[in-house]
Amino acid sequence: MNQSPLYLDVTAGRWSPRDVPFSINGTTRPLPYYLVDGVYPLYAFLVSPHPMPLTDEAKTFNSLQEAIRKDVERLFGVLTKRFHIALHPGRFRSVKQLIMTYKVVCILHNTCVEARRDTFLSRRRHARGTNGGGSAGGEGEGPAGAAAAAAGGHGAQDGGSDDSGAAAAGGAAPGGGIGNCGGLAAAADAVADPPPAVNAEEQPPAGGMVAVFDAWGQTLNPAEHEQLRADLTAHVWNDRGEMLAPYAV
Amino acid sequence: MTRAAITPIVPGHHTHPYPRSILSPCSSSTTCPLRRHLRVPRSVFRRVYQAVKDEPFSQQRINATGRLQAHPLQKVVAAFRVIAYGEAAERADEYVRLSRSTVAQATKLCLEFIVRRWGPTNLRRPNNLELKKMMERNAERGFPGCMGSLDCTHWEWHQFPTGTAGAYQSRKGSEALLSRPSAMRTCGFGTCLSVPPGA
Repeated sequence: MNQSPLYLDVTAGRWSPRDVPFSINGTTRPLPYYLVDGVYPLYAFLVSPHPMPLTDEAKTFNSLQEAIRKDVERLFGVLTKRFHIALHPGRFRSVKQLIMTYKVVCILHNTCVEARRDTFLSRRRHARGTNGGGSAGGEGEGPAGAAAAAAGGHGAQDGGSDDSGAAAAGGAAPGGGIGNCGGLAAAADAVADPPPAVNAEEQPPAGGMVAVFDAWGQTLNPAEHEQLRADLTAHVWNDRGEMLAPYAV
Repeated sequence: MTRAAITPIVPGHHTHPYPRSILSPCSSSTTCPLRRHLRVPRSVFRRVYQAVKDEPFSQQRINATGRLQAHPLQKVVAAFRVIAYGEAAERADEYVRLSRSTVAQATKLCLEFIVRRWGPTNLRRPNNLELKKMMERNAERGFPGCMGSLDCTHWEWHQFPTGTAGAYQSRKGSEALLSRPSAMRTCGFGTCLSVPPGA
C-alpha cells in the first residue's frame, strides 16, 4: 500500500483538496476520507469499521459503513465478470504490462459505464431536439448516436454546441450499412478531437517540503482516525432511523 | 522452419468473423452479438476501432512476398477477445485468422494505445465538481466528507519470470499483484494501481 500513487499523493498533500470543510458531530475537518475495511492501517484519511462492535452505536455505524462500501466490492464482481482477463491468472511477463492491462480493463469499464448511462444520450437528444433531430429516427439512431454522444462526452456536459456536427453525422450512420464508411466516419470526426483536459490544474504543492511534512503528519495520524470514527459513529447514531430505513428488512 | 501462412480476410467477405455485427447497427443493445462477444457496447468498440485503425501498428500492410497482411479490424477484435475472455493468444487464431505472435503483439500495442489515449480522461481522479457531488451524495447516506471507498484484490500471476520468483509472493504461496480501485457509484472509479501483495 505504501507504494500506491493514491497513498503517496494523499500523504504528500497533492490529492484530495482540503478546501471543502465538513463538520461531523460538532468538529469541522478539512480532510476528506475514504471508506475501507478492517485490513487497512489507521490513517486519518481512511475510515474503517469498528473491529469489535459491542454497542448498538458501533453496530449501526458498521452496517451503514458497509452499506456504502459494498459499491467497491461489487465493482470487482462487475469487472471480473465483464472482462475475464481480470478473472484468470495474468499471462504477461512483466509487472508493467500487468498494471497496464488492469488499467485498460478499468478504462474500458468506465467508458462502457459512460456510454450506457442514460443521461448522455438523453442530454444529446434534448440538445438536438430544436434543430430538426427528427431525421435521425427514434430507434435507429441508438448505437451510433450513443457513440457520438459518448465521444463528445465531457464536452457535452456544458451543453456546448461545437460537437453537434458529430452528433448529427452519427445519427445518419444507420444508413451506412455494411459499407464500413458511414457511421465509422462520423465516429472518426468525434475521435479526432483531443480529449478535454479534465484536471488541468494540478493541486499545487504549495509550501515546499514543510507542507509535505504537514500533510504527512495530518494524514497518517492514528488518533485522528479514531476520533473521526467516533464522531461519525455519533453522527449516524443521531439519524439512525432515517439512515437505516432503506436497509430495513 | 516454414509454416503455413494464414489467409487474410477482408471485411465484408463472407468468411469474415464479424461480417454484419460490427459494421451494421443493431436494434437492441442487449441482444447485440458484438456486445455478447466482446463484452463492450458497440459504441465503445467503434470508438476504439476508429482511434486504433490508423495507428502505425495496426495498419494493413503488404509484406515482401506481396501478400496482404492482417486488417486492423482483425487485430482489434483479437485484442478485445483477449481482454474479454482472458484467453491465450493462440486461441483467437481460429476466429480472426491471425497467428499467435500477431495477436500477442496487437493486443499489447492496442492496450498501450488505449492507456495513452483514454487514460487521462477515463481513468482519473474526480475533479472538484464531481468530488463535491460525491460528497453530497455520501452526506445524504450519513457520511459527510466521504470521497468513496477503497478495496484491494489479488490478481494471480501465471507466468512470472523465474528471476522474480518470490518477489511478489503472497502469504498463500502464489505470485500475485494487488490492485486497488476506488469506487464511486456514478463515476466508475478513479484510480487503479498495482503493488505486491502484503505491501
